[in-house]
Amino acid sequence: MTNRELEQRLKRAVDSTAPDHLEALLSRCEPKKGNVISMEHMMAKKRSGWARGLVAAVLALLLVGTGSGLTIGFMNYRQSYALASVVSLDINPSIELKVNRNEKVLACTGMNEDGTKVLSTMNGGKDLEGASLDLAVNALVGALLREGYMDVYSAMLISVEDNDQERAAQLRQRLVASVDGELQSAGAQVNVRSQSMSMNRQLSAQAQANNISSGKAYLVNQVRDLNSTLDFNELAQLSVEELDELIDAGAPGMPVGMAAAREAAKTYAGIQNNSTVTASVDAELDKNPARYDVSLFINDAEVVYRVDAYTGEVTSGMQNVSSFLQGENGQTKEPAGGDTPATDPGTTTTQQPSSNQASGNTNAGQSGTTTTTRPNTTTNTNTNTSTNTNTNTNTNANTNTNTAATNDIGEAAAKAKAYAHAGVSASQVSNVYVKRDYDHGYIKYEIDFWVGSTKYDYDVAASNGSIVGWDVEYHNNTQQQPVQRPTQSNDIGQVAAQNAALSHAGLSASQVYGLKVEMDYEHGRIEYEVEFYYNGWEYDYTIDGASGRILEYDRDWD
Amino acid sequence: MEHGGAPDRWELEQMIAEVANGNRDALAAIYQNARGAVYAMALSYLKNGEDAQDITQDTFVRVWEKANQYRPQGSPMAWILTIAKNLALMKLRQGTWRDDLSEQEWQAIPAPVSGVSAEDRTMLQEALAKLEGQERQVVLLHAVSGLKHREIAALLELRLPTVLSKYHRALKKIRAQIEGDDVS
Repeated sequence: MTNRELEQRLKRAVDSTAPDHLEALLSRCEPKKGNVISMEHMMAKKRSGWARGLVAAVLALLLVGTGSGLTIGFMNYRQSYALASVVSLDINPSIELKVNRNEKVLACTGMNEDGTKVLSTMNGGKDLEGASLDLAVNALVGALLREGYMDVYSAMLISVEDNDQERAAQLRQRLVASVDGELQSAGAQVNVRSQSMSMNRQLSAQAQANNISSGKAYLVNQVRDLNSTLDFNELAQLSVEELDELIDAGAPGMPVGMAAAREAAKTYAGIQNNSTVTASVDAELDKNPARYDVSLFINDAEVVYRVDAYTGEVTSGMQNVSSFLQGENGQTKEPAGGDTPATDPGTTTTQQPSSNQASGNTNAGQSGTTTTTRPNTTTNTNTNTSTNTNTNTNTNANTNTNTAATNDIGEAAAKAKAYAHAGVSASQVSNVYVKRDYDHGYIKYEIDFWVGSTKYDYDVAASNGSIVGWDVEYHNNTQQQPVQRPTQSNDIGQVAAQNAALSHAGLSASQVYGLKVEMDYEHGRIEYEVEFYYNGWEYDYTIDGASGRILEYDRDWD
Repeated sequence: MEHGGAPDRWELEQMIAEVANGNRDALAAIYQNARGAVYAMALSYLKNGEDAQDITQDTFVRVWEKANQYRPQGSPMAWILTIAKNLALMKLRQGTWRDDLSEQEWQAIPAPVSGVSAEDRTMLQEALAKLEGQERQVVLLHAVSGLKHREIAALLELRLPTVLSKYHRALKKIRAQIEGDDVS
């Protein structure tokens, strides 16, 4: 006989011999003064649904009054109060709902400061006690939308803890559909992730110790399953979005966190003490390189920074923010037939010198601002050719003057970089379009040009001429090859890409329908677009063709 | 936690809170779930079934009276069992317990009870009689009350290794008694 069997026999014997004299006990218990709920009072008073269940239990006790009646009353009580499921909502606010088997809320608790703040408008969560779970979740999502959390974070986690896995799966599916629908109606760009698990005391204790829900603790442990060196407490401070992306990235390390990224950008911009500056932070931990994109809103301007996710180093962005605030974006247009100078200054600033106009530039009437319409044909009826020389000179001077503080190589040099990368000469290109812009805090030149029926798009960093991004499009049926096509030695193939997407979704090929895999060439690399449908949901994935890593994914209700 | 099974800590705390509000149904629920554990606790001290039953009833009356003093910092079951332990000790100090039985004649079960097989009744009587006082307490609390060894150590004010040692020794003696070996 095992120890367990021995204990069970002992327990059975003791339980059977323990006194069962409830009526005698109750007769010795005097009614309490003050907040007393007497049996008669409970029967007469109309309360909410859960109290009606309680009254029914009391009636059962009175009407029957036997041992079996006591059992019935006890069972009704247990139905009303017995915990069946724990549903948690995590964004960065963390809120937990305890629910009975009738899906009525027994308790609603904020697990962290943000969660408590959200519930402060609902009497600390007490207003939701007794409500149906669906109603409570809708109310909470509404509160999260009103408080602006869906603007800051782009991922929500719905967790269902229940030892009845079938009930957990049904609850989960229903809640996700409901929440998704509510978010879509509100236009919120939030990915809803869901999970279900059995109740686990150890997990609950771990969650409570870190002021997070069990659902989030479960997610944290998934990260630690990938990298056990990462500290649970530190991971618990990250948002659901960060944890989700960290899992996608394989949890290579501990990210610095959104708050640290924001402060790093502000410090780099020299405005860390400026209280009027607001910021938004977007985690991109599943991108390469992993980073935080920080937007600082200064007066009416947005300045964007990129912060390394694991070192906290600002990798792009403007240090001298004040000089950015004085500048504007500019555009130029190129006539067909080759690389001819811009008809107008590429830079548009309020400091545009008056000599530009005095040179006879027929575009002077535009007050230094050039707008360019992209030609639909290879011929260009640009009438400003005669003034190009003068303007070109002014353009270069203006450009250099205005961007001296930020080391701008200039438009001509940027175009040369793009042509060289594409393996074409200036005489081969047509319909050149150049736009000088600020992106993620650095100046770049966006350069589009055509070679025959092939269109090239380039982003060239103004500071050093590096190719930041590029793309190629073929526009005839014979799929002409460009003069130069970058090669990629690693290509996982369509099958591996498909499997990566299915694995991430937790599905097999036989479970889904409408499965499509297409290869694309974006940003200088092979990517696979994978799409499939399952159980009313449409899944979309972008897979890195070299590594199989998931670059993007989305799920929509079909 | 399984639905329909023993209540977990959160449920018990909710029930105690309801008892503090004067909810008799909540007291009934606690009684149904904890009477076995409380009885085992009382039995482990008093060694007499009838006295243990009296203490069991007294414990739940005390729960009714003192529920508003419960603070959800520890185990609610441990709180209830502490009440039972203190009442049992008081009874021992008062000298009103029936000490006229020897260890061998100690009667764990006051009378034949339906639902308990004769074998189990015998097992309980004879096995428990073979145990030392603390061995009996430890094994009853673990088997019947479901307390962890750490919680038992706190309740009985013993060191954890002591509790573990007594627990295993107690089970060994009970098994030997049931299986017919005589281990002293």
